[in-house]
Amino acid sequence: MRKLKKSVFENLADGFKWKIETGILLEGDKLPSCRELAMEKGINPNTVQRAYTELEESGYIYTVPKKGVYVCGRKQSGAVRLAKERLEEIKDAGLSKEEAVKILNEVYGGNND
Amino acid sequence: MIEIKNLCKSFGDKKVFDGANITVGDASICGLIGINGAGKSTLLRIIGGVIKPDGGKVTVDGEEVFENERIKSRLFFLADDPYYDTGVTGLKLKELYKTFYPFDDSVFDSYINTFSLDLKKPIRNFSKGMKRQLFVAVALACGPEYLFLDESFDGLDPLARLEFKRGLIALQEKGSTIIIASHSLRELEDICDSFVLIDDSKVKVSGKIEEALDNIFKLQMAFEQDIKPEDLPVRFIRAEKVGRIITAVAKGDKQQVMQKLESLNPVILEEIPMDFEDMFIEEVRKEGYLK
Repeated sequence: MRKLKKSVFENLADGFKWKIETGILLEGDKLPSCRELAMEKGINPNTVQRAYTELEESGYIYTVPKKGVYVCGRKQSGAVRLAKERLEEIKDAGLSKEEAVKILNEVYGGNND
Repeated sequence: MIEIKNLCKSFGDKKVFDGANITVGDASICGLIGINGAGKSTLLRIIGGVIKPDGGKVTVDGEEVFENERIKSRLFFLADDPYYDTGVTGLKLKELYKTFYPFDDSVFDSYINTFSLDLKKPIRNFSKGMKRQLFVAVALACGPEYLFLDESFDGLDPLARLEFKRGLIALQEKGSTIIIASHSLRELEDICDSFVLIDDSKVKVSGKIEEALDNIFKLQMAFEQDIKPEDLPVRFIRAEKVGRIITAVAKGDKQQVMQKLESLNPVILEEIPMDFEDMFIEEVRKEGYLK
């Protein structure tokens, strides 16, 4: 389902997901602490914590107690996630699989024999 | 902890509060919202001990606030239009507040420096935003355990707002409880963890912002047959139909509602995202008010 406006914690979490998927943040990179990020952005620390929990649960980051929060490494490329999201929208809009494959072949310039 | 039980307050024949119950936990930043004239400022003035409630109990850490000097030295109420005497300068204002609060000069000086305020000039010559900045610096330097802010973001530029929010987070980290009455809901969504919505002399909704947003949702749908919203197997708090498209707002278990609607094979069924402001609008929407 499409979601346009996002809540504060979702926006935060998605920003990090994107950075990890595109490789801007690499495996082992340290993220700012909850407090540092809350202070920098003027966002309630509880909200930042919720974003970090979400990222940790979906396997993007891990916490080393008393040391900090680190990136787990690229999970799935941003392109794959984007393709999934867009295709789901297109499917919802009513395009059949056959039509979609035809367009895919046109876009990629492949043969459809 | 702030506890308000069965609060009643009237001005003449206007009932501002009629049995309101509010609890604000320690170390939380709570947004106080409501339409103009709902009673936000009145509530802050009551909790701040400025005015006396007609009925009910208002306690901070178990003690009634009105005429209670001991508890009042631990709380700071920053009014929308704070008082200062004619000709008073920033320096004199600081001296005044120092007599009532454990004032932290280094915090004050750092904000005065950040905001580039001239403490030797009379406050009346300051712009609206500069006055705000000065009082924000005073409030944060007093480091109160309870801070009540009435529209204190008003008139501050975006950078000053960010500095202010950072100051509030630092204060919360030390265990302080902050209540902010404001109409900048975008700002509140960032900084607050909980909220209280006042409507019709009572508390209409309160709790965690995230949870409240999870609990209310707006849907857009259309079906093969021409169905009226009231004939659908879901109870909406509001529904509109334009052509065949129904836009409706519902509360409760989203998944359950979606399942019921999916079973009718809708042509379209999608969620329209709601933010804090949308939620506010849906909650206070009623016949006859700005509509």
